[in-house]
Amino acid sequence: MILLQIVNLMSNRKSKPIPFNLTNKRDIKLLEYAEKQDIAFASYIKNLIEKDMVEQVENAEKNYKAKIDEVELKNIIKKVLKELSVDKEVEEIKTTNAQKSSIKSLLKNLSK
Amino acid sequence: MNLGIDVGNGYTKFNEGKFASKVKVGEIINFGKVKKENHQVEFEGTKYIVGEGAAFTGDNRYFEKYYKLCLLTAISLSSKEDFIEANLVIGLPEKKFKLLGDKLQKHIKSFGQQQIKVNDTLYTIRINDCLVFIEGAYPIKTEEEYNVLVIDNGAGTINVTQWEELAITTSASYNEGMNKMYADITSYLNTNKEGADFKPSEIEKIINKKTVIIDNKETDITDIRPIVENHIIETASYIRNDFKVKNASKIYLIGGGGADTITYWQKQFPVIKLVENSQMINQKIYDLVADSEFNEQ
Repeated sequence: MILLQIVNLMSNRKSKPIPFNLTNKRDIKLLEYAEKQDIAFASYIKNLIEKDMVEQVENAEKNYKAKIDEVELKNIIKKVLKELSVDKEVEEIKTTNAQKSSIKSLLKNLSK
Repeated sequence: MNLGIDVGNGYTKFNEGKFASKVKVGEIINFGKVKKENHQVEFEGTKYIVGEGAAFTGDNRYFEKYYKLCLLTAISLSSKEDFIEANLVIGLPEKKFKLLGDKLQKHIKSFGQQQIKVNDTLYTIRINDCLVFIEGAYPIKTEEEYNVLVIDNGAGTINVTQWEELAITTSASYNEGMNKMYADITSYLNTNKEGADFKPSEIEKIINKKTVIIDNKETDITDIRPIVENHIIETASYIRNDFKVKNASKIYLIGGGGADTITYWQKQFPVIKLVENSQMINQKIYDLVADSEFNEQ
C-alpha cells in the first residue's frame, strides 16, 4: 500500500537534475552560492525561475508601453507640426488644358 | 505669386488655411493659449485683431476696410517672403458679378503697394494684377460638361448655379445662409433653455451636438434640429421653383455650411453629394484660375 502511494506520488512529479562540474570554476562558484541559501536547492531554483518570469513579463509590458508612448508622441508632434503648418505639403496647382479653356470661355461669357 | 483668396462672409480662405472674416481694433492679450486663427495686424498706424470681432456683410463689404484687411492678411500668410508681388483671383456670387465685377477688380488693383504687419512681420505687398471670378464654379474643377446643380451653402448666402456644358444656365442667391440659421437657433436657445446665453458665433460648434452644458447642467439641444431642417426645407423649395432640379445629373453641395447640413439637404435632394474639402473649394478653384490666367503672362 505504501509502495503504491510512493509510485503514485512519483508519477505526479518531474525531476530536472542540474549537474555541476566540480573542475569548472564557474560551476563551483554557483554551487557554493546556492548551497549557502537558507532554502532547499529545488525551491531556490524555482524562485529564480519565477523571478525571471516576472521580469520577462514586466519587460514586455514596459516595451509595449514605450512603443505606445512613442506612437502617441509621434502623433502629438505630427498634430503640432500640422497646426504650425511646418510639415504642410505644398499642393501643386496644375490646370489642365480642358480647365484652362473652360475658364477662358466662362470669363468671356461673364464679361459679355 | 499667383494667389486665389476667398474672402467669404464667414471665413477667409487661402492656400495655407483660413481665419474668420472678422476684424476688431485692438491687441491680442497673450493670456494662455492664443487662437491660431486670430492674427495681430497693424495697418496704417492702427492695431487690429483679424479673426475676431465684427463681420462685414452686404453688397458693400467688398469695398470696406475690413475686407481689405482680411485680403492683405491672407496674402501675407500665404507667403514665406516679406515682399510679395501678387496676382490675385477673388470671387463674387454669379448674381453680383455683372454689377460689381469690374468695380471690384479696379478697386483691388488700386491698392498698388501696401505695407501691413501681421504677427510681428512687416510685409510689403504689391498687387500686380487682380481677376474677379465667380463662386461655385465647381464643374470647372471636375470638367463636367453635363447638367449639374451646385449649391454653395455659405455663411451669409446660399448661392445656387445650374451648369450645362461648363456654362451657367441659371443662378440665384438666397439670404438663408448659416448666419441667419445661427441667429434663429440663438434666439430659440436663449428663450427656451434656462440660463442659456448664446451668441450666434457659438452655434457653429454645437449645431450637430445632442447636448451642451448650460448653467453647469448637461442640456439636451436636439430640439434645435427642426430649426435647421425647416431652414433647409425652405431654401430647397426656392431652389425647386427657380431651377430645373430634375434635369441635373448631379447635385453638389459646397460651402462652409455644407458639412454641417448635408444630412438635411439629403432629405430634400437624395442625390446631393457633399464635395470633399467643401469649405475650401471656391479658394481651390480660384487657385486654378490664377494658374491658368497668370502663368501665361
